[in-house]
Amino acid sequence: MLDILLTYHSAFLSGLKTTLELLLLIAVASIPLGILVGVIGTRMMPALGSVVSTLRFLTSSIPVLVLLFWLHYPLQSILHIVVNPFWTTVLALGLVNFILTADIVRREMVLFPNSYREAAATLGLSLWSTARFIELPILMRRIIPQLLSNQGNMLEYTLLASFISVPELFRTAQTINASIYRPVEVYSLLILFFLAILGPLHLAVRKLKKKYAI
Amino acid sequence: MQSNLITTHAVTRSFSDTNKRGVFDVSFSARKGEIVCILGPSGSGKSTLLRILAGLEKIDTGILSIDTTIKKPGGIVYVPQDYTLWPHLSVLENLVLGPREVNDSAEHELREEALSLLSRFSLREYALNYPHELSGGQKQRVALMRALMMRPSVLLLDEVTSALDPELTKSVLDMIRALAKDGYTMLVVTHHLTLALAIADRILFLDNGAVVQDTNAFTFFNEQTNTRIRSFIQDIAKKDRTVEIFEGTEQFQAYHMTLLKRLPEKSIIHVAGAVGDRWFEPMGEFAQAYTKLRVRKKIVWKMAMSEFGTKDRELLKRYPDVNDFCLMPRNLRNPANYNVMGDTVIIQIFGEKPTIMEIRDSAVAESYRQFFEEMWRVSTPVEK
Repeated sequence: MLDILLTYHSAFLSGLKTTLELLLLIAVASIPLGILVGVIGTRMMPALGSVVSTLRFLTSSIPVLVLLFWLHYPLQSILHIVVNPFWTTVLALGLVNFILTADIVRREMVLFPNSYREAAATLGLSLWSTARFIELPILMRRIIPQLLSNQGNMLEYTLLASFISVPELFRTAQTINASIYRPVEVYSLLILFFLAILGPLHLAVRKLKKKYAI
Repeated sequence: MQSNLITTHAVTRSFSDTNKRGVFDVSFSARKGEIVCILGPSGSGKSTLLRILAGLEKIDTGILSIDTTIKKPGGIVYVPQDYTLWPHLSVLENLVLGPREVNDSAEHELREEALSLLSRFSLREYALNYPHELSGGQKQRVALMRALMMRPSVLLLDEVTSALDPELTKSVLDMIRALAKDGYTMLVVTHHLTLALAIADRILFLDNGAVVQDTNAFTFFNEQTNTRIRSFIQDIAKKDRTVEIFEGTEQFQAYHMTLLKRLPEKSIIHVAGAVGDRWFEPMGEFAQAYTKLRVRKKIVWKMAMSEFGTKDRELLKRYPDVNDFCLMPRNLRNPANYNVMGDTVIIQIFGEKPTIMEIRDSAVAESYRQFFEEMWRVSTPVEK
């Protein structure tokens, strides 16, 4: 197994880099926007909140792979454009991640117990102090573990990019295996790679959830 | 006469949501230092009234006026029944946050204050714990302390004892009475009869969102003429583990005979507000046996009376050693009647169906005894 890693280390590293780049771009593009839309949709524009909720329903009903393929083939042929599959993946998964984020934020804000705000109001705390010391910390404790957990799902979804020939980690492993045909070692290595990334992520989620259990 | 801190005039608030109870045409006022208990069946709008006073509900019509001296953040603090402590903050942080942000007080002083408050109510060791690590009773006490940290002028307590164990209720009772002496004005919604009996200056009885009765506490419990309220009092008394009810002539007689047997020799029964010979009627033929036993056990009746009857005069003449009578000043006279002995208070309601309400609660007994002593001081002794 080690010899494969040594021989193909640059290929593996490049696959890993592509996977991590995808993950990072998806997160950066979608999380801040998702939070913003979630907050606006709850506090300022209820109509936007309903849109988010509808989109959330649609995304959970359409398999991510189907969405990815649809953006990759039909949409591009309709629009007569060709987009690099890497960016198509960022778009598809970013869209999903954005909707999930907005929905989590919206849901947690809606579920936020009004009694916590009232307790602050009756003590005479200003709206700003209430937001800063009560609402924000509690919401963050509830939202952050869910967002992290979502990023774990996103990492798994990046594997789907291999179907549209993005040279991420899984695609790299497939390519290497096709040339040397040593599936046991190649796919075992793949398991180790994912364990190394997803393991700590899931541990962190679990720890945060336990720490912030309120 | 102290000025009114809170006055409502024909306040009405209705809800389209059927789960929420409105209030209709509510007018009342609370003076400084006064403790008003708000009683009423479930869904009578008690909580809504408190929430209106706390500024958590708007009013549709009517006038709510609050004295300018207490119109400041944290001047009126509402403590709800479900002790909503902020879950992400430790007990200490829960106590300190309000005054730190609102009054700009120094953090270390507030921490000291919070810790001494926690010590006073035996929660010192939980200062760094989080709310989910506390029991319901502990959470409620912390919620009360969080309100006290604001040094409010008015406390609005909404069913705060419903989650407490009986032994903790006593500590809260003591705390609330101490606060009353400190000048806190309190409006207390409760289903706890013993709490109302022990602390209330006045009772506001709400039904279907409207004030049915607004009267002083003694008249409310002892002199109740409204049959619906009477049955309400009996209903909540039945639910109260410290309260027992004895109804009808037979139970009335049996109660008094048993009580006399139970009391140790030379005890004193404090009786306030007795009206002449009224007690002798339901006791019937047992009255004689009762007196005989009482004389033998040297149990003293110390009575501050509203009216002095012929039977009382006879008693005093024949057994001067076990009878000590006073006549209450005219302005305090009312036919309400209660007796205190040891840790027990009995309230007697005469009429067609004589009824005894027995409350075994040392805090209640203590407050009634204090009231008795005050009454005794201003009464005129009857010559033996």
